[in-house]
Amino acid sequence: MSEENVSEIARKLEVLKLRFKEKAAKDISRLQQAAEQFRVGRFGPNDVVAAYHSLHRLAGSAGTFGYTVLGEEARALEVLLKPLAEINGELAPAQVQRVVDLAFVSRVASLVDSLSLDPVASQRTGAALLPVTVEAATDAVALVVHSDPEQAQNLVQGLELHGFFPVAVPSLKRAVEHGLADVSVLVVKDAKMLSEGSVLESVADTPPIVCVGAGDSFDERYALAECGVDGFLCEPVDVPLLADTMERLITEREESGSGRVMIVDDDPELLEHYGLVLEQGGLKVWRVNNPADILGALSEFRPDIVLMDVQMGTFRGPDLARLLRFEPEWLGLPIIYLSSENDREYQTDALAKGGDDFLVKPVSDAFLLRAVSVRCYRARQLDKLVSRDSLTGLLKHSVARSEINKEYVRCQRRGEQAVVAMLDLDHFKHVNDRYGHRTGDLVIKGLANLLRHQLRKSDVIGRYGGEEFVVALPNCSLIDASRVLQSVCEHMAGIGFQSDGQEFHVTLSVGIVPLQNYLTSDDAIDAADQALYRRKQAGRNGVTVGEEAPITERTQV
Amino acid sequence: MRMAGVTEMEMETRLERIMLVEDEEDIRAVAELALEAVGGFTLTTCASGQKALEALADFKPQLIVLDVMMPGMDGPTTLKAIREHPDFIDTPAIFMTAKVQPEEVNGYLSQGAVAVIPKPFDPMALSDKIRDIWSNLEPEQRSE
Repeated sequence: MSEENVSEIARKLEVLKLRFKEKAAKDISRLQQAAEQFRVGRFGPNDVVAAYHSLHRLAGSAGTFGYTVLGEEARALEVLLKPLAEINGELAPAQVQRVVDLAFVSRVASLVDSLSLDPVASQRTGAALLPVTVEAATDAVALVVHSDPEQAQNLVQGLELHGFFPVAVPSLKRAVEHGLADVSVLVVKDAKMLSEGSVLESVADTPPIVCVGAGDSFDERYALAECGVDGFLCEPVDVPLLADTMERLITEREESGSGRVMIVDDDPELLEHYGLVLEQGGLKVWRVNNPADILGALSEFRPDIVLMDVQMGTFRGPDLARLLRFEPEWLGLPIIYLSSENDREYQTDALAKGGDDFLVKPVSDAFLLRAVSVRCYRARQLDKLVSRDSLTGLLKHSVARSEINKEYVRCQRRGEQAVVAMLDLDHFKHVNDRYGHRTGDLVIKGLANLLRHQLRKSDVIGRYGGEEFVVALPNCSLIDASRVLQSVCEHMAGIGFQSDGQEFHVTLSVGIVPLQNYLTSDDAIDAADQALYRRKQAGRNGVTVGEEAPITERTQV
Repeated sequence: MRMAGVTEMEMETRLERIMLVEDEEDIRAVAELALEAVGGFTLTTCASGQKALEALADFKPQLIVLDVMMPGMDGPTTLKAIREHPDFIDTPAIFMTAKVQPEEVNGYLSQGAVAVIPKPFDPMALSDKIRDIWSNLEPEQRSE
């Protein structure tokens, strides 16, 4: 198993532990209240059995999450309560009070102390783990900080359906204690942000923050903006809108400072210097010392921009740029010249030959980094505009098709298997007719975000048309694909969309086929479309596997 | 990792599809991590015995893991209902329970389980444990 997978599993386990901890704290406080009532002889017919079950659950689960002491103590208390729970018929107060005495109540109360003991770190290391066959999707951890536990729970449940990995924590302080390094986004009640926001000052790199609250006056919003909040939504929270805001902030964060630059310079020392400056600024750099290597390097690295010296031995930058433009693939690639040439005439001439911009030497390191970062970001935005669907941020029809074809070729070459899926929202026209296009768009975005979360980074996801989507899952068996997409269907059906106070649900139909079993990738897409059509006829809401494909076929990874 | 055992393993039927019946959400989530991400199995989790009965025919588990104490249908009752389905008369079943007195274990085994896994379990070791149980079964119990 790769180290990445091990750390991914460890991280998920941490999140589950944290979630268990929050839940157990509530269970314990409920148990404590119940025990105090029992001690004074107050209980309903099922209260004792309920308390017994609650202790039994803690005894069985606490150890799994590393809270061994808690589990053992809960087990001891469970054993004490068991004889009462097994009595059929009414319990006399005296019977209960004999077991639930002051000592019992205080033992229940101190369960919460063993919860604050840090869970024992698992002694096992990655080497002991078995290989992972299915790469995990990248879940975005969201911490929900809300003063009202019920609202927090609602948000957690809502966001889960959108493919986030939400955890409710009672305060920002606790969120900081948990560590924010692996957290993708914070969702915070506005009042909490204003009163506790200062604890975030000690954190070097905070995730994006979205506030929810009732206050929508200018002053209140300004105060939140001053705290560094990135987004705000009015309560009651429209969860799909919240999920979309979170999604946007996460993507923006991921993309800033993640540019790819190719530097072409015949001076090895300058090349190394520029490279280091940009790498330290967080950019990915590919250095080309010999201009003749440029075409191969481009195909391999696929930079956002190229930074090029104007005069490199016998080679001239502008001619090299012109040569690049021979290839349609590189027509849109921004080329920036680094030059000590100050002559405007010369600059214009160079630009006319296929360059995009000039940085005049000498440049300071800081200026170089900023200038290059900004251009990378811009180049990426433009590229997105061309290749991405503006509503969903997914690949456009033609780009998705060509990506799937690339995957097809890869499958043929390496003898791997992949799955292609067509997805279509059920009765989507009704949604548009009944709730309007704005709401319809939100539904489409909802599905897009869900796909982004539930699928892997390496999966191809495209918006094929209106409410139709196409997905390719490389290195994936039909069974796995069917399972993953079934789960997408279930999540989608669970999302409550809102329009004018009305809640409604939208389901999804999917058709899947094995990509490599067809003569061309377009044939596979057509076959997936036919499977989708059959799904629609068979009652929608679910996954249908193309008939040509025997379901028994399976990956042996 | 187990290169030496490869030939031997290939001759046996591989365990792939496991059904887990467990009412507690936390445990379902950690078991998913333990059996899917760590163990590489294909897992279906069911929140109740009723749900398990509904999912049975579609998923065709090779092995069923049941929590003993669940509201409504408990583990043993669920297993009994599963056994009424002709395709799953012999499907190996494992009980998970926080009670592991020896006489209780025997009680569960006599109800048709092949093993009992005590709770709490170590999420990192659960897959190994299940693989061990699987490899100790009679060959005819290990269905495709």
